[in-house]
Amino acid sequence: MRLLYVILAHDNPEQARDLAVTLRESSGDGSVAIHFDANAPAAAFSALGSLLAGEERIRLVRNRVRCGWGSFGLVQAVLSTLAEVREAGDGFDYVVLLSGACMPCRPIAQLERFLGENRGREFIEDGDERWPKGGLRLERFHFHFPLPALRYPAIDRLSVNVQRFLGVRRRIPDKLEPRFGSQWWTLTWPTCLAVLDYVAAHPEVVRFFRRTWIPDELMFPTLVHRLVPQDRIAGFTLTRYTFTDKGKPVVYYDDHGDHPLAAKSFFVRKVSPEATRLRARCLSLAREPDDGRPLDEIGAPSRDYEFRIAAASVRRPPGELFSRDQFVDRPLTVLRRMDRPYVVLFGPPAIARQVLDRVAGAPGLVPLGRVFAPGEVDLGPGVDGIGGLNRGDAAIRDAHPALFLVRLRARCAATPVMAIAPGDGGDLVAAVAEDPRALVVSFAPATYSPDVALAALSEGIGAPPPEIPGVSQERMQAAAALVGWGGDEILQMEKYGSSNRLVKLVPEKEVPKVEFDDTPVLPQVLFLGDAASPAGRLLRRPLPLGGAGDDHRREALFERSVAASAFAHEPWFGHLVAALEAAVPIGREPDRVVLVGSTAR
Amino acid sequence: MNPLQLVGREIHFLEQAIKDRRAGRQLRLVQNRMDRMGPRDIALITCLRNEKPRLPFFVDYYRRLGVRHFMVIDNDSDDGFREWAAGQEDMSVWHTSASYRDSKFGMLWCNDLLRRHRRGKWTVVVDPDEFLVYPRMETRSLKALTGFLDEEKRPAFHAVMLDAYSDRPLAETVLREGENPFEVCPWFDRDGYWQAEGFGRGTWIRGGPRMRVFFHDHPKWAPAHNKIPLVKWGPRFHFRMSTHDGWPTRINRDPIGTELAVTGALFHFKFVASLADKVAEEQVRREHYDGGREYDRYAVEGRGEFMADGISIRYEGPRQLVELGLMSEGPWY
Repeated sequence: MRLLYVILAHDNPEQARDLAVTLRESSGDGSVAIHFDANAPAAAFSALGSLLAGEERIRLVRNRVRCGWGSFGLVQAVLSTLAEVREAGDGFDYVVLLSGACMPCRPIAQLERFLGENRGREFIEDGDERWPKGGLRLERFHFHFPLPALRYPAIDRLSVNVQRFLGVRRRIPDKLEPRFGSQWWTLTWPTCLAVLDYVAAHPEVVRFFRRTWIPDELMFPTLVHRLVPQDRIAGFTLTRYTFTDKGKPVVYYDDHGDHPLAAKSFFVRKVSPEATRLRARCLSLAREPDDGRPLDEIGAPSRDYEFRIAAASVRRPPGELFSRDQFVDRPLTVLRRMDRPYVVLFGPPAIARQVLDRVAGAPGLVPLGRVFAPGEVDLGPGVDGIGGLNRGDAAIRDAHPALFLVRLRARCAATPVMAIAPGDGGDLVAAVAEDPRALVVSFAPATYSPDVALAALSEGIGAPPPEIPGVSQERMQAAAALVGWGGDEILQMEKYGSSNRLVKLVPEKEVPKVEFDDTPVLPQVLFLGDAASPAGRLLRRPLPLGGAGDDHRREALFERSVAASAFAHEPWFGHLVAALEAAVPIGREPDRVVLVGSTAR
Repeated sequence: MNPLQLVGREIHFLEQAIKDRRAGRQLRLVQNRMDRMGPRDIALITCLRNEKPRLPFFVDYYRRLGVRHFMVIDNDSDDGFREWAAGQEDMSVWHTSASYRDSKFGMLWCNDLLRRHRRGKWTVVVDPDEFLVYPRMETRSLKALTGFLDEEKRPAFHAVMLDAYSDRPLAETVLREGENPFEVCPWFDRDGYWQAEGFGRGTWIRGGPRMRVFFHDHPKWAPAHNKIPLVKWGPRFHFRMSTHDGWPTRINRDPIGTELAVTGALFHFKFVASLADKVAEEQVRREHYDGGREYDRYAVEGRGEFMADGISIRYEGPRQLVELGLMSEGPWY
């Protein structure tokens, strides 16, 4: 197998030399032709010349071309390299086009076996105008692009818009059918000669492509499509490239580990000049003998990069900086970064305290206090601090309550049970009510409207006084409305802005001055769950799916219900229910009755 | 934006531009080696006064990251800085004895150098006690980072300033000449940085040991910890009060919006023993922000211990900061 490697190098003479020498030595009788960009400093070119002096079968192309991004120079460089090699009278089986940033990712011996098994096939992409991921497509050859690409972006944009408005459509010479594909192909030598002859015979074709957008992705696929029978065109190249979602090639560094080497191809790009270890590894891999593994997977599409990018963003740390959804005004998205459950007892602190006292000592649960109490961080009797968060940190807590909750949760190995009284924590409470990781147990009368709530307070449950000392009726109404929110209301919340509604009803500064007294109230688990699940039996009413609400909301509700059902399987769930049963006097709800004690453990 | 606002912006911009130029005239180029800098090289601009003990490590650190030239504004140092700088082949020095406060704590001088020499080029703008850290920095140079930022069309790299401290009392935390501050002060706050919307819909971060200790009861008064230590200077760019606050305000915001961008951290080694001398000196000079109020607090509470179990954590490397959420790799794969 006689191979010619054409390397388009722009910089870094030593690295170009290393690549060339490796390719030559690992092939039986491979040759290398290096085209060094005419834009590069003269010193770099002369350095390359002296590095390659005396190296056999490595040719430095004399007729150098300026190779800007997307310029015709990139095509011209290949053409003049091939012409120079033909003049020298050499003959080959295959030509492999590489850049200085391409690196072998398998033994070259394996490449030779592959080409031997596939003799006569052209390894070039052969896509239609859907091949570019976005941006300009048909415009690439319909419109005129007389200026160097990207040198004057504003003029480029204007020119494209004007031509689009005018409906410009250039005539394609010789009835060529434009095809798209990566620049980095592997073609048979006869095909390369055929392209050279064709280009020499059709100067108007060169003139046409000179004024297209990114001709290096257009001209060779088009000409090969014309000159070679379709069944010989493989439709993929042997150099693996990956584009980011910005349409720029992914660059590999030493920290990418084995990932670039796992490509289902023989070369991979782009490898950064800084990635010295990766480069050394690739070059030593190229020299290894063929291990004889089957090569059917070569050219198979890979979504490895997409999966890796997606996997990296699945779970992000809570409180992540420069992340807009972690700002003070977005408590729910802050809470959603937490990955562990927590229990919130929402209601009169006196009742919550009884539950907390009974929870103490239960395995898997850690009782805290009224964490968002005004003026101090109550972490439980006798606890002055947890992991650097102290009783006196109220100001820091209030600066960003959701972040404080997240930090507190991160410092508890067991599931924390915390009390929140109506009015505590400002906006945070609404976010907690929506957080799928929160098991919210509410002790206030449950209803859907503030009027009913007030009525329930005055006569419904046991014998509660209509007015709780120190707590205004409006506040109690607000609390009732808050805990009574069901699915419909939560759907509405988005519409009106949950925080606004809460702030209006429970001003941050209006905090209870007197503790709630011991009042029989109705304990209920506030969440939207699957009614058939074990935890769902605690439900006051089923999830209102299928009605109003867009997919996004439905997804959020579904997520919450799944998470809520999971609480019943937590090892601590039984202890919590037992504590609730023992601590909370159970009252009667106006229209529906829920008995916590009747639920399955 | 209505026409009146546009005119207002324009007047604001002109006012700033005039101030920059006026401040720039106070600078005298005393050591010019800028001809050794390539057109695409990354440079660093810093403004200092009697910081010589910090400098050997500082320049080595940034050289390793790929900074090719140091543009230093010497605010009348008398510790032999000029003699030391003469030995640095990649350093140009501007001298001024004008007031640090009147130039907005050196910012106007930096603005003018950026405008004159660094337009369209990536430049690190830091103080001599600030050390830039970014994801995967062990294997990727600043050149690689700025190349990626160019692809993302971001002219500014955002970082959180992390105040570093030692586990010993401040008086015993001495940074000797040439010493690695990461070894002297390896501790920082692992969390507790809270974010709100800042100028130009940017991210306003407050937190860290200074908030915890000095602004414990008034966290909203705590100094801002969001910075722009790396910038590709544009034609109308300007830093207002410091690198917290850029102009046009859009550079304060990472343009990706709610999606995450690659961000970094800026280690700030302020809490070393030389601070004690500095506090005394600064109180005399009264040259700092808000009449040196911040320094007064240090003077009163400077003996304070920054270590807090559960919050303080020892720096191990950039990967650790990414896992803590203090910086992000974003889409930089």
